[in-house]
Amino acid sequence: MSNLKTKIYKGMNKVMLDCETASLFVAQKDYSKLSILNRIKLWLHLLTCKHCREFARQSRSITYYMKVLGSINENEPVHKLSDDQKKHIIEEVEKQQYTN
Amino acid sequence: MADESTNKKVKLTPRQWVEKHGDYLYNYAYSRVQSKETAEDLVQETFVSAIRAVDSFRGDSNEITWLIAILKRKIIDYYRKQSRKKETAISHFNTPFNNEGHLTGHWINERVPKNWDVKYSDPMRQTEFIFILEMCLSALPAKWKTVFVLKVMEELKTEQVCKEVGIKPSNVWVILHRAKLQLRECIEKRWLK
Repeated sequence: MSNLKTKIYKGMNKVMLDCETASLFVAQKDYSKLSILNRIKLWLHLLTCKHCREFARQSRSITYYMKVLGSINENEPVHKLSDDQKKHIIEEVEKQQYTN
Repeated sequence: MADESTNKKVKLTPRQWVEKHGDYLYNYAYSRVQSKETAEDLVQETFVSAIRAVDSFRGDSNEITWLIAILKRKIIDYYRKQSRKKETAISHFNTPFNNEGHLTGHWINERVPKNWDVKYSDPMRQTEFIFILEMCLSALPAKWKTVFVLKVMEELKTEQVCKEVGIKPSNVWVILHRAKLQLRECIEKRWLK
């Protein structure tokens, strides 16, 4: 009996991911292909683990807002050059314009 | 006849370039390097390159698109230099997972992810989130930040990231994973305050 239990336990361990691996799969899934087998493993894990579900949600938020941060907004740049910075850039560009 | 558009092209002075496109380029650079000085340097280098190469600019693409293309190259060069610097080894990562006992590989109790509810927040709060994200991003080790920005923001292919940063693909994933775990914790601390 206990032998069977051990076998089942070992079998389960092959299918079930721990959170550390699951969170790695979450990160991979967001940016590339995850193999079908690993997708199923991840799906099974997320079904039963609310912490990793939360992590997956946060991971998507981070990805989404990273893109918002990187997308350029022509009308309303969030970060602007100060007048001093502008002056400095203009001077430098004028200086270096014809040198190599 | 075909030269008509070329002849029409007016050469801008450095001042006009900076007035016209400076903020836009600066904003683009800043959101990727999170440093005023670096962003300023990159913008300056971009204008220098642009002005020297202005004759090769065909005008078949929009001026700003052309400038952004130059700036992008400069940013990647900057990243590459940064990531070549010797710094925190990957092993210095403070893992949020148990590494012993029967809970090995499970989240450490005090460090489990909590609900953020960003999407349902009002726009002001969302702007705050982006602000926090930017701050936490700048707190990452330079190499992690580079990999993270190239992969997530610039959406480069893994092979390209490897080439730019000089690491193996498996390391890209280790870094992305760890960067995300660290970012997440940093954001959560400030966001749910």
